[in-house]
Amino acid sequence: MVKLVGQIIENRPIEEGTFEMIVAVPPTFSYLPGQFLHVRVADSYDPLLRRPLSIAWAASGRFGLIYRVSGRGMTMLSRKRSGESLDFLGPLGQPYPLRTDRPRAFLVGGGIGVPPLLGLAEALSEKGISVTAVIGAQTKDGLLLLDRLQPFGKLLVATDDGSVGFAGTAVQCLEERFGSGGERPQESVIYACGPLPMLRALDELAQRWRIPGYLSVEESMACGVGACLSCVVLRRGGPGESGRPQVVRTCVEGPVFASGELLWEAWEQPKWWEDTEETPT
Amino acid sequence: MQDAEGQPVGSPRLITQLGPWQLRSPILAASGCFGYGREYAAYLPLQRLGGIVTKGTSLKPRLGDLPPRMVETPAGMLNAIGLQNPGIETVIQAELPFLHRYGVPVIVNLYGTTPEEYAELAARLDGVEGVWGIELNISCPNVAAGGILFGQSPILARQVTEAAKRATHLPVMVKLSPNVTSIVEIARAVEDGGADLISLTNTFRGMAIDLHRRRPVLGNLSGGLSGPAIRPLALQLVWEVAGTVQIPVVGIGGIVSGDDAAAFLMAGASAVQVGTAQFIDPTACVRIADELEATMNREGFAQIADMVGAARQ
Ligand SMILES: Cc1cc2nc3c(=O)[nH]c(=O)nc-3n(C[C@H](O)[C@H](O)[C@H](O)COP(=O)(O)OP(=O)(O)OC[C@H]3O[C@@H](n4cnc5c(N)ncnc54)[C@H](O)[C@@H]3O)c2cc1C
Ligand SMILES: Cc1cc2nc3c(=O)[nH]c(=O)nc-3n(C[C@H](O)[C@H](O)[C@H](O)COP(=O)(O)O)c2cc1C
Ligand code: FES
Repeated sequence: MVKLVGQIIENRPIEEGTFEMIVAVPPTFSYLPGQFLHVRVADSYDPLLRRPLSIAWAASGRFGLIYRVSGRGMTMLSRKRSGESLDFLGPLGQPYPLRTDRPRAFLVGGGIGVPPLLGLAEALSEKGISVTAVIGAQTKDGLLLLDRLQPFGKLLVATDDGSVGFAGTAVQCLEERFGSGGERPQESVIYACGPLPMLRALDELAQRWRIPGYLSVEESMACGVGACLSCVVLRRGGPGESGRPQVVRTCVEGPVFASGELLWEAWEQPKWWEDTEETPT
Repeated sequence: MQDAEGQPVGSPRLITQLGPWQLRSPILAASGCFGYGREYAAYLPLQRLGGIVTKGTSLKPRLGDLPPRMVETPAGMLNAIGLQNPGIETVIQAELPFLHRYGVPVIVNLYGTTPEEYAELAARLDGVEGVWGIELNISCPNVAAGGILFGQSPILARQVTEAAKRATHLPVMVKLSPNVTSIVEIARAVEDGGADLISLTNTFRGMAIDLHRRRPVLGNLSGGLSGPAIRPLALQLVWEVAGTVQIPVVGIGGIVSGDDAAAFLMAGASAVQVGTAQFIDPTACVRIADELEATMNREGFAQIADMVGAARQ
């Protein structure tokens, strides 16, 4: 949890529109899968803020970031060359818990949510867990990191347009596997990272099948360290907490949350924030 | 320089007299950008700060605004946090003791919906260990009731100031909103109400629209603009207010470097607060203090006080 500077060893496109940056750091650097870095992409103040990026993998003395060149910040990052330095805060946030009490793990990734699953797949398979990656995208071209995930276990692929693999979303693909009896939900854990609708559907699936699930959420962040309260989501109040929802920070209490914890309705319904607010009298 | 416990305290040349307070540095952390100090304690020596202004604190806990709460804009950002805070009791019991350990001056930023609430908050902090003063937030653009309403009417601004002054022995700083027709009128009213210091500015009201979703990005629709984008606007307002009131002024708005801080001092501010810059550089308050000393060397100033108002002579 400190401000660090690493040296860029490599920064190149690995797939259409997607870059991998490899950064050298002191050998003492370590992280847990699911954690992220808050990266400075420019020396100037425009764009102003750091960018949150998951650590995709780490080996002794280096780590990899895998990012889609979307907006201005990622474009600037993609122009950095080997030998230049990278200024970052981290590792930040709560990692995926590595559950060894159930022998099977389904790692569900959509779009640019796939990178953190790489390090997670490695960590789980090292612990003897049987890993299945379920990777979804709109089309064949959007599928990310299939070759890199392959060595750690099985691979299921879903495309919205059916151009390859299952025709539908990654969540529908998983649902079908469970429904057809081809998998053993009672022995499984779900880990996921991807867009909000995917996480929400997966949360519902996990609860219906009574499978422990861990979901990594993306919210816009300013500070990345818990000070500004920009990145909040609502967590259901547990028993003993008077049942009131709690505001939690994606950057500190997240980005990984357990299935069943998040109040998805709160993203679209102001009433959750109003009704529960004790306005001063 | 180190203190008795060997902690770095910074150069004696940065020592700043700000109204009733003697501070180790003219650089304070601005409200809402430093929480209650915990998050940044890992990144910088808190005792080197001139002071910490806490997150806006109300009587009861507040959940704050519906997300999204933040969107980046050119050289700036819009926020609509909605004054999420755990309420004054929790702040006193669970947050302030942490800061007290560092011996850093703490100024508690307060938000109420009536003058009586401001008074109750001010009274509650009277005598709390480690609290050097209060800052009245009469300028938050992101809450419906109170806040900015008080900052937009000279009469109400004065009433709130008087209510707080009567309720506490602590020095009272009043934080002004730039979203007004005449900031000097408000500044005068606040001075007449007995304020010990004035700080400015809070954020400028702004908006961003998501073209794809066809609606404003922020859950609160509008938000407050901060960061380098507002620096020249804030600097000009500080110039106006410092030229109007006799009480010390604290400059705020887009400061990211020692030269920026120097500009606010030369415009007439006795100290400055740094907000958004911390999100980019968590060590900003200390770095800016060090840079300011370099600016002093370069421009030939022996001490902070010599810089204050230097551009007005
Ligand atoms: C915890 C976390 C981990 C992430 N890991 C990865 C990763 O491994 N690989 C990857 O490609 N992307 C990842 N993202 C998304 C990544 O942060 C955004 O793609 C990036 O910030 C876009 O910046 P930009 O300037 O290119 O885009 P712009 O759209 O120009 O950015 C404008 C603003 O919006 C914010 N923003 C835009 N998209 C997102 C988003 N999806 N999530 C959060 N903020 C966003 C930016 O940070 C910036 O403040 C992650 C996000 C979070 C929160
Ligand atoms: C995320 C965020 C939260 C803020 N919260 C508060 C607050 O609770 N009370 C307050 O008086 N000002 C608040 N402010 C305003 C800042 O203290 C400061 O006045 C403003 O951001 C301008 O300074 P800057 O450009 O250095 O950030 C907040 C600003 C930001 C960016
Ligand atoms: S980004 Fe500031 S609290 Fe999470």
